[in-house]
Amino acid sequence: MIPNAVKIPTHRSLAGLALGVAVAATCLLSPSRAVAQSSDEKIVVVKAGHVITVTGEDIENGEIIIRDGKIELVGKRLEYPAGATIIDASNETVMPGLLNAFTRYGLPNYNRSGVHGNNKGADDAMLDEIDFEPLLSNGYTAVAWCPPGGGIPGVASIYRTAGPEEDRVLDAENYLLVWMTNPSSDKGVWRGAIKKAQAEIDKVEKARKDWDEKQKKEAEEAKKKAEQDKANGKEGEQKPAEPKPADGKGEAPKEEKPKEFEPPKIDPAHQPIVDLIQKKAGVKALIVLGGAADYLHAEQVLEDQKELAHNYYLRLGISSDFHCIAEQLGEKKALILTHGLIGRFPQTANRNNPVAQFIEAGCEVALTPGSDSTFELDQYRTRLADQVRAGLRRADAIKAITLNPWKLVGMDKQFGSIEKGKTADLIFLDGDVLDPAARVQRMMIGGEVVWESPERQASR
Amino acid sequence: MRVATRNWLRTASVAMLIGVTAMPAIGQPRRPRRGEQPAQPPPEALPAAPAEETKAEEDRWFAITNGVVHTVSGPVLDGVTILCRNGKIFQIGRNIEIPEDAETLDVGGLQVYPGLVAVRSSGIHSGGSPEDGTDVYSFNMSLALAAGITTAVSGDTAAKLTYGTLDDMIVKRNLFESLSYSSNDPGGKRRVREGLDRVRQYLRDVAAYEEEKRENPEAKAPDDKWIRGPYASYLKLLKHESVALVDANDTHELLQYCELADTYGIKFVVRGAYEAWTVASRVSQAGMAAIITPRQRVDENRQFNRPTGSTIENARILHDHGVRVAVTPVGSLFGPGYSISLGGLAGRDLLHLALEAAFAVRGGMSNDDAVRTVTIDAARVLGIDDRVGSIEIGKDADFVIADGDLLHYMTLARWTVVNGRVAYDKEKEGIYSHIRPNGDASAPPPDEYWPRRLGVDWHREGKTPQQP
Repeated sequence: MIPNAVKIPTHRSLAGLALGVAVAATCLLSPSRAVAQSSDEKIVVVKAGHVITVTGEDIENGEIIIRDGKIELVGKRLEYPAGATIIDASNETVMPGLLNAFTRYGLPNYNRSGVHGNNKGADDAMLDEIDFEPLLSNGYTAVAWCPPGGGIPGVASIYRTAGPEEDRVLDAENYLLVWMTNPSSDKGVWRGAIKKAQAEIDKVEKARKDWDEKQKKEAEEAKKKAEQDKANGKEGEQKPAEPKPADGKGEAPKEEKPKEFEPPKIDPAHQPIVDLIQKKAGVKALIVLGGAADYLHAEQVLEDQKELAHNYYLRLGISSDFHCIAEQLGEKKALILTHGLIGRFPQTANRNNPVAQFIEAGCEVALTPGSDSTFELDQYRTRLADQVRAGLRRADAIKAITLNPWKLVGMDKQFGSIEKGKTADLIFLDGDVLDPAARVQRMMIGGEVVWESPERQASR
Repeated sequence: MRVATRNWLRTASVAMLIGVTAMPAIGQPRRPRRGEQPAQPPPEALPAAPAEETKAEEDRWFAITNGVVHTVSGPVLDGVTILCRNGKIFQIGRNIEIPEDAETLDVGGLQVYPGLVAVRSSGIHSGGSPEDGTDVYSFNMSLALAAGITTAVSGDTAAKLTYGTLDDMIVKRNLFESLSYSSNDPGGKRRVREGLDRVRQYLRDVAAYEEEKRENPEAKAPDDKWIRGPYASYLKLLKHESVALVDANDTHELLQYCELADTYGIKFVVRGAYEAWTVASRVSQAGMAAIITPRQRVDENRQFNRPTGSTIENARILHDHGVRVAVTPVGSLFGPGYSISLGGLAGRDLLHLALEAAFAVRGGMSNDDAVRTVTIDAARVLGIDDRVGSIEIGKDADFVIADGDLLHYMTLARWTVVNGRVAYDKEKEGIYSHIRPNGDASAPPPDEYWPRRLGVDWHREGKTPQQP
């Protein structure tokens, strides 16, 4: 059963068909079965040959009803107002738009080291100069731009690859990137960053404590003074000592007291780490690992606060040893970002399907292309098909490219699957997602088709 | 559970007392003198009940049963059980009660030796601080473990080969002080002697000051602000807080260091020392320890009217003269040699530490003494014999469980244990799993043989997720 999607097994009711145009009549129908249109709303209906909903079952010859850029209904034989724009994709596969969750595509190269938490991935991007075509033609509706550099180079920015300019920025400050590929130096950076952030937190706490004490003291003094004043009656001698203006402005010093506490400024480079330690909602870290031992080193840094990081980017090579830590990552219920690669166990000729192994161990896996080269972007679905052939479940594979990358950036409530309430960022393929020959033909962002393949444009 | 453990401990303490009194010559932790009857275990070896109560983590037990245990510092014990707690040897003996949650390795009559100590290495641990950079899943580490090595010196730090974990890696930092006393630099030699003189005078002044202080409370302490850099190093050497590691190969160099040792009472560890056999009694008299490579070969020099060049008997001669000898393979001939690594002209020496000790046997050393040159004597040279190098109660649970005599060319490690954890398993690791499986020397390699090092072949174990 598809959650939030509606299947109507019976044939379309005659009444609904006849009165489908009339707004009043559609209102009579159950709101879950049909969609009413008010005059200023835009309704788009995608009639798809095959819908990959990700969170539910696939639907053959289904409809996706989109109201104002949000998915309203998904199912078969749905009703919709006659005024709706209909997109015929009856011989296409429709699936949610993809997020490239770790990329430096189009970013200039910087040699950064140390802690730069205030640096955003998109800061380095020159949007006008970036050619999004290779991303679009492979179905990426968004990218998570990671700031270049080592150590803690900054936070990732989530950007759409197309669509209206004002909707391009999905989240300027997303996950914090932490490199742990060279532990002998990276460990020190990460350790120092946490220590510094902790010091900043302590600094603020101390300032608040001091401020509170000061307030208390002042209040007491004021009270004492008031009592003294009362006891002494109104003596003119004391008053000139205070810089208190006469008459109506007598209340002025009172106003100063309830002044808000102003915390001392936190070093902006360490702000994301402070947020991370304070468990601020939506703040996450992504730790980049080059090998299995790097995970142990990362864990050693977080000895006392292991819950600080659950997300890891594994830089998988052809003979990586990440299988050694699969169990540990599984126990931690880690969310792993990596690229799908059939490798071999180190020093052997034995094939290894790490992604399937991580899922088996209990991890959630999100996939990203191996690099930002056009070749890797194009090979992306071929590699996925290879993995499915080598034992990865199809459902897991699809989830790993659609929903889980959005989960990594904490936006899986709005993106990553075709279900009610999600943003209508869709891609249209002329074949199955695991068919390497299939091509992305159209791309929809916020309910609007924003991109068409060159072939499609030529044939029109 | 805790109550049960405590009850068990009570039983164990009784069992232990019986075990120790029944067992001959199992040494005590910090007094590894050979042939001496051990004292009863100190009471603090058993945790007091309140401490057990507050302890959050459960004890980690590990047991090896049915082994022929070469304690190295004591006798060979056939068929005893070694029980380890939290990575330390807890009990050795027969009829030991093994806790239920212990990981037990039934070695079925194989030879149990203490883990080997490599006095110099490269390519296993990372430089600087090993615990902050070492790849504990590296192939080199597996290869070294397969060679029985459990402790290796990297730079100036002795560290364990803790495969798969970063816990309890460091054994000792700052093993040696360096001292340069080369004939190529007469000025430098003079400076070393002057420095040592100055620090020695300081120590005498301190002694005089302390004497004076008793009568005159206002006595002035000698100035110690200048004791920095090399002087701080000299101070450690002169106070016998540390030993000096020096490279000395030929007789001339060795005698220079002997002189220095005599004059200042400094303890030296000489590395190389291929001509030490010619002056063995002198080297012994100077209290030096030697790190040597028995199969090193240097031609004699006939310009001298005295014995020169190398001999395979070097280790035996030095040992017979009472010099403590640690053995290390040749390593690179071009770089600073005498190290274990995967590089080097001399071959893959990471794999051959025990075989290098066998060359000492070829030179006349006894088999047992040769085993000591890569275990307890190597640990003593490094000053870490309180932790590793022999199988004794209280020492680290590092073992190599071999399918034959350690120094035999056919012997392979079946398991290697580091800190009470199995760090290498021949059958699983796959480097040598196809060679004499199950210890059968005549067994041919399996049909479907492909050299590999893989641990768990999860594809073949049917763990592959099936297509729905």
